[in-house]
Amino acid sequence: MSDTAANIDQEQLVDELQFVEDGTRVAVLVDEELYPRDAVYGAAYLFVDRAWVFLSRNDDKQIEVRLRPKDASSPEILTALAGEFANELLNQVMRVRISDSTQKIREYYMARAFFSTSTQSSIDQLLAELDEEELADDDLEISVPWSGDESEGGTGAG
Amino acid sequence: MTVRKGTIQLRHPRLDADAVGPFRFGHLANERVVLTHDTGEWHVLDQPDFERLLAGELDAEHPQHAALLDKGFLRDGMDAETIAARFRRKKRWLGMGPHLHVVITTLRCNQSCKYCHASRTDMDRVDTDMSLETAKHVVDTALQSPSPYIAFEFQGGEPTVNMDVIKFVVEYGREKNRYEKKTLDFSLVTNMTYMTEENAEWLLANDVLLCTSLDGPKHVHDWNRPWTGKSGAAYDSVMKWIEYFNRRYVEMGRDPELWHVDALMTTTRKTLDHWREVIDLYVSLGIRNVHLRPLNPFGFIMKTWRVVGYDMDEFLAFYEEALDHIIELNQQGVQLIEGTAAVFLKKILTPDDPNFVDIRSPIGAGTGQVAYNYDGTVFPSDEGRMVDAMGNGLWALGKVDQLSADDIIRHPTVKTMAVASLLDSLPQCSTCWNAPYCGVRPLHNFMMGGDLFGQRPNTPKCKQHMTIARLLFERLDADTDGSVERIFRRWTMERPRETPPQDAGTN
Amino acid sequence: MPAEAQTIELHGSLYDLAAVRELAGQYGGVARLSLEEGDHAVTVRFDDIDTDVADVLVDHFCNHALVETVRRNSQAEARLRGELA
Repeated sequence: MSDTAANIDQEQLVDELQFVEDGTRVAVLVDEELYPRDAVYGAAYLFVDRAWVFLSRNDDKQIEVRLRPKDASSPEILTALAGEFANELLNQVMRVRISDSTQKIREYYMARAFFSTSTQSSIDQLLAELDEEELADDDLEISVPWSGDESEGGTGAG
Repeated sequence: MTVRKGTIQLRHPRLDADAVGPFRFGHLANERVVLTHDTGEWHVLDQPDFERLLAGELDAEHPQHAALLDKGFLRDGMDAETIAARFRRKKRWLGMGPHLHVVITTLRCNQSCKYCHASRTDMDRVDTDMSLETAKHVVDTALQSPSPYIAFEFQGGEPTVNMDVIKFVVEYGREKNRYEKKTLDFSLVTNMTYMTEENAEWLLANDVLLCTSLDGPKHVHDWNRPWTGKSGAAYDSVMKWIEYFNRRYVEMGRDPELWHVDALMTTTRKTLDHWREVIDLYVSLGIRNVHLRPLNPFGFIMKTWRVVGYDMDEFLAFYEEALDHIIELNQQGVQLIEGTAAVFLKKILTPDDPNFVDIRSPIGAGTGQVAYNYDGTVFPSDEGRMVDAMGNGLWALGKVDQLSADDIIRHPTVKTMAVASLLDSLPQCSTCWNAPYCGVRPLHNFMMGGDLFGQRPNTPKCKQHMTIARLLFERLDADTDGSVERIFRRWTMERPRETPPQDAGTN
Repeated sequence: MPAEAQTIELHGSLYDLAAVRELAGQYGGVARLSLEEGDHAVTVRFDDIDTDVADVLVDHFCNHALVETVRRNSQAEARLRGELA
């Protein structure tokens, strides 16, 4: 999804975002090759409390994000709103790119945290110790294997 | 209509995607950037250093390098096993099952508070008392939870109106726990206006923890909580019994730091106008924890919202002033904790999580707490019960005599609440710097907008949690001499209460 | 008398059209909504609009459609990452 974003030319560090305002609303034109759609979504979502937000597509590569303030509007307010949106868009691009590039690491430590083999082996070890204790306590050596059915008696209901 | 075109120059920070670890980031005051990790680790950088980090130019000689590497913000040399262990510890409550069991002993109440969230009935409605048979099922179900720690919390109505059920749950719970061998706590949330000396002595002898409602000085408390009883107004009654219990704890040789009446404050508009008096009162009574909570703008309170309510911005302005005042008091040697801050600080400053059921991901509704209404109806939270009383039956899980703990945890409603509160899957939350410390409340969302997921920018709880966390980080970041961090760390410490004497509570 | 009919076109590459269809069913109390689906977009037509909400209804619907689209997108990504069953 963010292949295009990941391929931003690292030397081209400045982009010019165009906007158009008509006194009641402002439209920011976003190049989807530079700003992945998830970043556009992330930024647009943050504005739904104070603006009416509408997305449309001018062509295959350009998304128009239209913002109309719910409260008072003026050219100054609309210009500021476009600026805030642009800053948030930039933040969202970084978030998407960091998230994408570190996803495997995150998956790894989450898997290790909850499903790691070391945890498994220590549980196995614990179960083995418990089995040994049970056998030691079982004078008659009548050991009942665990059946997997806990519906009766196991949890002390009633 | 004039149409005007313009351009905005955006400078993209360079990102060396192979140099950084997985983190979220946000902006604090003074152009400082806070980085946070799933493990709860965090670090604050100024903007130039943040950009160096992103660009992979923060080398080993940099003074922040070692800390950033240890916390998992840098990739080269990252110890993924340690991070996995930290994450496991932080989330160890996952799979433990409900530990908080709210027992509504009765709906009867002798007060009619302006903001009452709980459904209440008049004192002659004995049909809204929990029966002993239902109470037995409650204990049986609660002790089925896999959690090694179980806390029964008695609420109402005014729970002491049905003292027999409180006694039964405590005695039967302890008896049954001889076999279950869990750690049990019992706590009572009471307005103190129905307290008797006989009941007080029983509660003391049985180590039932006490929490009362104290909204502030007399003119605030009595305005919020209209009641006139034999011993005067509500405030006088609360004062009398706080003094009684605290004196008796000392006489019993208990450490007053651990054994004292706790108090919960409900913040109304009246509180906002008198907050200093409220805090001074708490300090003068030796109460060590004040929990500054906003009103929930739904439920029965909607009838009086115009009089008692306020918006989240007003609340947060009050919160910031009050928090700074409490920090100042602590710097003068007073021991007073702000409750919500303490929940966040335990997540921010310690390797553990307090498992506070309302601020975690996923939420604890049904998996961290269960509420049992007087008639045995089970809810995933006490709020679910309150909403049910308003006529919305979506949250009732069934009857306690027909549900096992496993049925509750696996109930479709509980699963739905978990899905709707998993921050990693929610827009804005999944990338929010506050995600490791935060939690959303689907039932709040539903009550405010008819949608379990809600719209985060339109959610006051989001603003509340984000602001409180930001205030804490900003104070930690500006803490050049470490005095604020020392106070905050003290707020995160919990000493276990001593083992009760053998002759009490184990009959 | 109801307000004049209004229409809005939502592009299928930007809005989750299944979400739009579901949302349309929730607005029956304030307008009569009908959907016309094209190759790349859906046109939502609002008839018999309650005059009390006529000035914001379409905007409100669009915000709602965006929120629901973003939510579903977030959840789909979480599923891909294995964080949501």
